[in-house]
Amino acid sequence: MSMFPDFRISGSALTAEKTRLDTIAGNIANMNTTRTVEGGPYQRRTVAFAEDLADSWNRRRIEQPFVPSKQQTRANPGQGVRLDRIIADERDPMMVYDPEHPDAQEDGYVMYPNIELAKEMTDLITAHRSYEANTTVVQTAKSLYMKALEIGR
Amino acid sequence: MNEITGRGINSLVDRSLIFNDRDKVGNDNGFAEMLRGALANVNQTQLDADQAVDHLLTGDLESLHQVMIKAEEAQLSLQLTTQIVNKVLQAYQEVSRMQI
Amino acid sequence: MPVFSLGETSQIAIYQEAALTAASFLYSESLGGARVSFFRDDTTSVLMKGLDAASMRQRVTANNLANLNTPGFQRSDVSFEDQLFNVRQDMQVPLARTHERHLPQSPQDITPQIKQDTTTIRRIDGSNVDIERDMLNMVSNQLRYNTYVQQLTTRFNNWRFVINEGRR
Repeated sequence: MSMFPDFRISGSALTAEKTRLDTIAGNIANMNTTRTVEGGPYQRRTVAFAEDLADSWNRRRIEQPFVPSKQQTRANPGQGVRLDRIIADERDPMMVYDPEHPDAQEDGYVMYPNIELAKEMTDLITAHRSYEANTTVVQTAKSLYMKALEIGR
Repeated sequence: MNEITGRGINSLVDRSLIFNDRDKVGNDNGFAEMLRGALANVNQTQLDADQAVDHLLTGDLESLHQVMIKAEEAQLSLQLTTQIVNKVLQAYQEVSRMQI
Repeated sequence: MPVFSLGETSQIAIYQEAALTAASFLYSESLGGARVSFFRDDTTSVLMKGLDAASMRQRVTANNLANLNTPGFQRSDVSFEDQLFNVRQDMQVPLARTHERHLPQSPQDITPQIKQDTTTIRRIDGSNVDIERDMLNMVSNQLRYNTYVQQLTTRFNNWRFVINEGRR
């Protein structure tokens, strides 16, 4: 991605949040999708993030025991964030009574994706805030590098 | 190290050799030794700076500010040593004119 | 360690002394001739460490903000200037150092350290990163960084001025 460690960290966040935004967009777009290729209604997707503990330059994992209750010093500043996995929402679909619907079951109920617009919008705002914050971090990192070049001038 | 600093250091070394020749009575020429040490130091600061830049080029950008600092120190070391050697040589030449 | 073996006049001796003193600035025999940067006086060393700390802090803050929405993540801070402050306070009252793990006695002993923040509460299914706090940290850190760079540059320029007798 980049050879500047600071940009790698922020870049990882931008990529992760962008993926989340895409997921949310997909959820919203498919709110009313009652039939998919796999059969059944569209399954809501969420993303799970984890801290990137791999030394991505050397492609090795750094073991970092996580002890939240102790005042602890860290060896390295961190590598940013990574997308751990995309989770398919396993909850039951939303049942709506609509016997006229082409995808209605025998009992007259239609299975809708379990997607609430309010929840998706909240997630969207959270993701966007993070995205914005991380772009600001990139700007600051850049100006620090530029300032370092001025040493001695 | 680059050509300019390399030449600069070499000319300093050449000019400081005059001190070795002078002491033919077998006296412990501590001054020449010290000068050699000083030039080795300057050499080392140049090499350090070069190495830091090398790391920069191969993508190790952990601390750009340290590279800049090393470059400054290398330059100042060279300038300081050059000035001192020049002044000492000047004084030396004046004194050797004086002797006769 | 005479350079001239014959007819030492007092003037020659003076020149020799001066030359030896000058050369010894650059080559410290007391350290076994080991290379020590002549320009690194106490304040300059601390400034350089300050730059290391500020640079580290930028990275740590970047990691904090990158993991804003990472469940279970714990934010970190960089400790340096606070350690410096404590040492300066302690220097008012001389302490006996009986064990090497005791408080550092001089500013030269201090190194920047990354400390995890265990006091802030983590959000449910989230991190304990407070976006406003870290953004503000980043701004003040940037000012610190700029200040240190400026100070170092001034010192280097002063050196250059002295060495070149008027900054040629």
